[in-house]
Amino acid sequence: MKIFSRVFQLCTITILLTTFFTTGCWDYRELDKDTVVDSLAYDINENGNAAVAAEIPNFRSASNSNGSENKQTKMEVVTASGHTFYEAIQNLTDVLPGTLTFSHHRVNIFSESMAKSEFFPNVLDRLIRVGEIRRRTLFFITSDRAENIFEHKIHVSGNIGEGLTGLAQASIEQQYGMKVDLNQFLYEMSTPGIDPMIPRLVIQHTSSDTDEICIFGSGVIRKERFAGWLSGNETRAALWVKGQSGHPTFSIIWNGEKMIVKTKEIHGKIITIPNKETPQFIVKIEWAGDMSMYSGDKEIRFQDTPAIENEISKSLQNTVAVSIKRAQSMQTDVFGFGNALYCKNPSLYKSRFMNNWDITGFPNAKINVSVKSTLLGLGYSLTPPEKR
Amino acid sequence: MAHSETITTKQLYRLIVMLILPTALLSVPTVTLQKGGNGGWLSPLLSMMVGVVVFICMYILGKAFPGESLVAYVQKLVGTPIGKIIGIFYGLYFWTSGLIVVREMIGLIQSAVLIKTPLLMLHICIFAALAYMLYCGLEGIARISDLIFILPFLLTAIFLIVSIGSFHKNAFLPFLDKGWSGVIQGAYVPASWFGEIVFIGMLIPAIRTPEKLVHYSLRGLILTTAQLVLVIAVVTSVMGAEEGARSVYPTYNVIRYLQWGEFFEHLDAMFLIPWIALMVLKSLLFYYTGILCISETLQVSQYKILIFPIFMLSITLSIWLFPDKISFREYLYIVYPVYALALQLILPLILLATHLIRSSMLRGGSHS
Repeated sequence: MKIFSRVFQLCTITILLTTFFTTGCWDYRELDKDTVVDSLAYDINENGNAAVAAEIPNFRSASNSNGSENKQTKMEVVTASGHTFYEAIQNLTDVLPGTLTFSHHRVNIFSESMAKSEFFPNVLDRLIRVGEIRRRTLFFITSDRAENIFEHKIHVSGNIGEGLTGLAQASIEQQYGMKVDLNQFLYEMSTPGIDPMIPRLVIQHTSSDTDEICIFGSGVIRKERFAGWLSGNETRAALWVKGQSGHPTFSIIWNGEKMIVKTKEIHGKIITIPNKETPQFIVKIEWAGDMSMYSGDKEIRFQDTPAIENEISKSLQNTVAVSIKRAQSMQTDVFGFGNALYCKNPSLYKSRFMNNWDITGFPNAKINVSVKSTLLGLGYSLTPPEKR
Repeated sequence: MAHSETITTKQLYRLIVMLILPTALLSVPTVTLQKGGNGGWLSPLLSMMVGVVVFICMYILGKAFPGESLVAYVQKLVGTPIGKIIGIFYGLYFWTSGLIVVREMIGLIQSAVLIKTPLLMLHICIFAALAYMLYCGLEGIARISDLIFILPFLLTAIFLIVSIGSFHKNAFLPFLDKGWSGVIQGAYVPASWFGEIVFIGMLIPAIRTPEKLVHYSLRGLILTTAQLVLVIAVVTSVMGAEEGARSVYPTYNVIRYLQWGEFFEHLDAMFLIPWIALMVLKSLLFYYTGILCISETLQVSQYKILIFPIFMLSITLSIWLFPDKISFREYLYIVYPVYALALQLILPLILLATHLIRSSMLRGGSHS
């Protein structure tokens, strides 16, 4: 009887384990039979239809190589179109042998015309609804045809997806662009009083055969539609006001000579001034950094630092003020002034500006910029090269 | 029915944490953020009060009827016929709660991992495992809880550490954007999860050292609340209250989003493995108490006889009652809180009131 019970227990455990380990067999996937979509470019074609281009790694090219060969996975670009973007993406399967997989989908490139169209919110909705797509997927926008991005090269990167991810990461340093993923974009879009920005991809024409891609400036989205472009400097200023610090370098003129300074830290803060009629704000920016280059031949002394700091403050103040003016003329609050007002006085914001902050509130807002600069050091040299 | 199996108060404390936490962990941020906005993280603190009240009811009643379970003393309090009906109700409540847990678990597995696997196969697989564990009895369940107790803490710690870089500090401003009324409304659905502590009414007779019951049970409730507050706060700061409220599985979404450098990413499995382990334990507890309720009410000599038929019925019911995710969500957020709170909070309060009136009348009678 005891032996029978043991055998029964053993059988039960074996059956259970077998069931556990084989239940997933319905979902088995062969890596080389999956079509992993790495990057997607969204555009509107001449007929007004949705057009997509997908960059897909060809694992077969790598798996067919011998062990000794160091063959890289080849990337292929496939295009399709449809009445909607969902349909266009599904139509990609017409020319692809495998099942489309989006678990490793890294990059989304929108064209300006697409971001202006009614398709844009639909694409956003798809990105959120399709469970496979992660919120890390990056956003980019271009004034060229989105598909054209795949035809150009990014240095020291295997493919566009990898290259753009690297460029976005690197843009955090100089702040002419930024890294925006789906989560960040949705967060800003759903937060009252702030309009999201998407880094702009620019095709640079070079002397060599292939043109290069870089991130410079940003596209602004207002109410789920493209609203306009911000230049590199304007994007920088917007990021500073939002409190995002990078290590940008910029030049100033001091004593008639060019000086380049490198930011160590830059912090912006919006202060709301209570006023029921016209919204009023003060932008306080604190900068700290070092001198990186000076073209003059005058030896810089300790007494000179206040004057240099003053020049830096003026330069920053000008950059930020110009950027704010530009955004006000575009009626897009990328800085989050509306959000600052909402956080400080939610009832006022809800009663007066909830649905029209960009149109009536922000363009008329009185905004003062004050900058405090601290020059931390002059670098490792005390005198300019000429002095030696 | 005398309990042949016993557990310690420490084990009960672990069971309380693991009973409330897993379902709440996955679904609670959506509900609290929908109603409470960026103040949704405060809602579990209010929901916990329901758990405390239910626990007090169960504790006083358990002390008044030592060695007897909820369904046994209910018959003494309100008479055998009504007591038996209440016993059956409790049996059905625990059973359906277990069913909901399994359905939620299968729902996430199917939408996240095993997309093509037939629903029936997943049901058979999970219910077979549950049945085997139930045959091992309460002590077996308690020992499993000892083994996996560390998992929710590990999960929360990873969740918190990895998400630090993705915080939006402005997500909590303005403080309580939907006011206290939103926070209170947001506490309604999670209250039904905290009320699940009513299960101790069935387990009190099995506890070896009941004198430490209050201490450990409250500790369990506080720990669960703290974890929920933390999880909702992280979801709010990473996704924002609006986006968190829109998401079906916000906690899971945040886990999928988190990344540490270029090497520590795609953490889904790190969430799913411990979460499934916790859900299995939770459903086990519900099924155990449910089957115990039914067997004690119907005076079945051994509760293990009921395991197989109830599990067969569960497989059928789970597929028939909730054919899709939409109907399941409607049930979970609209129907379940109403009937759950009726059995978790209102009925125990009525029973406590009945007991207090009855005992005061008895005392009055003996004085006169």
